[in-house]
Amino acid sequence: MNLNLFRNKDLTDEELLISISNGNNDAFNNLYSRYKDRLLYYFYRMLFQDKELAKDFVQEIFIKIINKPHLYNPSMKFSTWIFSVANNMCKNEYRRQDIRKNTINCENPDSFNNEDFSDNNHEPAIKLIFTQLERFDESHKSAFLLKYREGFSIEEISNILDLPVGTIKSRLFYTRKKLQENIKNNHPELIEQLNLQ
Amino acid sequence: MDTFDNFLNSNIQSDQIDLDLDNSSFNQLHYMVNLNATKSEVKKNSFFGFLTDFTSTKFVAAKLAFVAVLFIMIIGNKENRVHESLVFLCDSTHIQNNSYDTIATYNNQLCDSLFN
Repeated sequence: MNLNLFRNKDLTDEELLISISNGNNDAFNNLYSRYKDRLLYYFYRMLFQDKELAKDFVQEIFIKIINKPHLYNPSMKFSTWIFSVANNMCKNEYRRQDIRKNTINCENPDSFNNEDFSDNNHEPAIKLIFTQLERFDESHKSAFLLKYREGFSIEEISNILDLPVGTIKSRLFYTRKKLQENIKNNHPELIEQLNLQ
Repeated sequence: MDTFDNFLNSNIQSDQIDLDLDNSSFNQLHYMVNLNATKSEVKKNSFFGFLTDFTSTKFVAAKLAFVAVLFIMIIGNKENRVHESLVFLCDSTHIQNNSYDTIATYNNQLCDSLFN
């Protein structure tokens, strides 16, 4: 069993997926440990920082991997594919909750309010960025997280979100610009910390 | 903008959230992996599993040989049946002829008894 675990560590995500479909528990452990924290963070940030919802979604995405491994699209890297599934799940959740009604129009910078960012667990600047990011729509938020948290390339993000490369670039630019502007306008005390001179 | 981009690149990745998954959910996933393994074992042993394996691309030569033997056996069996049915047809003609004779004899006897 330990030998299997050792062997599985050298396998690619795609090979692990094949092993899982053959009922290999060690392969599952390996894939789970590779992706659980990444997916948990992604769902947490995408789904209104709701911890329980994020946990449920991680569980659900792994159930999909176990029960429907044939849904994997071999033309994509596993990491790209799993985040595209995660993104689709988030889209469905947004639709379900009809969250679009509650998102503030990003065209209006005044919609960002001053809030209390005193939180012991997070750097105030990061906390501020994520609080403001909450106000963007799902596709802006997703592109931002995939780029800055997951480190995907623009092409990979384009595959994950199923949007043209140009659209991804403009969404990232727009998100960065709005975040920067609003920090400058509403939180001048953070300008130095964020290198926004 | 570049400095802000650098800030995001270096700080968002190291952001931590106070959140972890329960062991119970992990155990449930493990259970499902095991369940699927058992299901696939059962499927392998079933007729449907046999068909699935048979249509896969493994051991093609052996499968072709098996199909050829099966085909020869079916053809042989068919020829046997044709022969048997020919024999039966011949026999039945003989029986029919006999029965005609029997009916004619009966009719003759009936006429005799009525008119004599």
